[in-house]
Amino acid sequence: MDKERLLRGTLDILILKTLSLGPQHGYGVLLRIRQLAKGNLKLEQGSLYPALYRLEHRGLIASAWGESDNHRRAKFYRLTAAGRRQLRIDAESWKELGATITAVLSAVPEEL
Amino acid sequence: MTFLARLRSLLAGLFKRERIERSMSDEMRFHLDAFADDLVRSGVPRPEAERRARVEFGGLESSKERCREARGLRWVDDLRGDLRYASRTLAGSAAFTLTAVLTLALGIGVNTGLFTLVDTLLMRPVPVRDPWSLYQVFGLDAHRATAGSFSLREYDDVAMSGVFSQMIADSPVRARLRNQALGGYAVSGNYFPTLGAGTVVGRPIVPDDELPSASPVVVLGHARWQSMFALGADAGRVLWTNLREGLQIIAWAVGGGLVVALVFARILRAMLFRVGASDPMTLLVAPGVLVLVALIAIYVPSRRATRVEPNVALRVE
Repeated sequence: MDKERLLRGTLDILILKTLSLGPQHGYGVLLRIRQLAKGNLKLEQGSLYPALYRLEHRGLIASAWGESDNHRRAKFYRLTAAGRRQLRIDAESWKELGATITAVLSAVPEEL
Repeated sequence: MTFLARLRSLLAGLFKRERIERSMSDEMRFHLDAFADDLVRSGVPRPEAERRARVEFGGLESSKERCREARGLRWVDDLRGDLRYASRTLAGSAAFTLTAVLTLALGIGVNTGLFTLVDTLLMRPVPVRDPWSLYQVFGLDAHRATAGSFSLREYDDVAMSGVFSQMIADSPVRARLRNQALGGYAVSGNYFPTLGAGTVVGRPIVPDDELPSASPVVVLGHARWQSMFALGADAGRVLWTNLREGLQIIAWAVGGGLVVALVFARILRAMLFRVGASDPMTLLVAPGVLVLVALIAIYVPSRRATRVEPNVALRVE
């Protein structure tokens, strides 16, 4: 199976989750997702920013310019209240979907 | 909540476009630099690190384009491009633009003008208090033919029946005043108070004028008042006044239509690529007919206005 390709909409929920751990700039979001996924996900870096802009446009995250660890100007994103709500909803449906798929895949002939 | 966020984001996109573009460039530059710095720290030589950062990021411009799209700026850009294209094409063929704009202006203007006239002349209720509560009473005679006339006694009977809150009566009369024959109506004393109509000068007819001891009273219409007592206004003047008012409406309508047409012509021109000005005869005749109709529409009621006899209102005998 191609583990590296992300399902549609997966990136959004990963970004929301990452930002729920604390404000971060775009590059930081990338690093954190990589770290959390333990190298199992390959993010296309160019798609990260369209996703961030889309989430900001929907009011799920907000941005402000600040200073990075190595004292450079960077744009930091943080989760808004609406984003926190959305993350809860999305995480719930992801778990349900995962459980459903797992149940279907682990079906044995005797169950039918 | 999200709707407001989207709206705010869109407005920012419209009015702070440069700032957004700059911010987008800065942000991605920071990303590339930070990435390259990390690679350098892990032992990759600087030029190689920068190259790898760019390669792994992917197309910078396509990423920016998708960011703009994500912010809903795509249609703004498209619209801007379309408008620029439309205005250039329009400027390119002045003759077509002029013809199209004029035709649309006349069409819209004349239609607006006509509607205003029809609205004023036909659709407005009569200018009295509460016109919708007014009813005209008809009777049937022995042959079951409708008759609108009643004798004074019948009028009194209906008035006493209490079906209507008020009863007014009028009857056409002719009279001579200052050696001029006048047509008008004899009206009941409650005529003016019931209709809520007043006079500009003097007083209207009141119920007390019905008393046998009262002296005759007359209320003149404005045109007759002017022609008999005031500035010597004549039929031509009345006609001109009406025509002028009508023309004013048309002028306003054409002016307004011109502005609207200008906008629409641009849109139209953008859609009708390479459609030349069509048959000039049609383009000339159509507005011509419209103007003619409009003029007739003003002229006819105006002519009638000059012939309106003053409302000579006499008290009911």
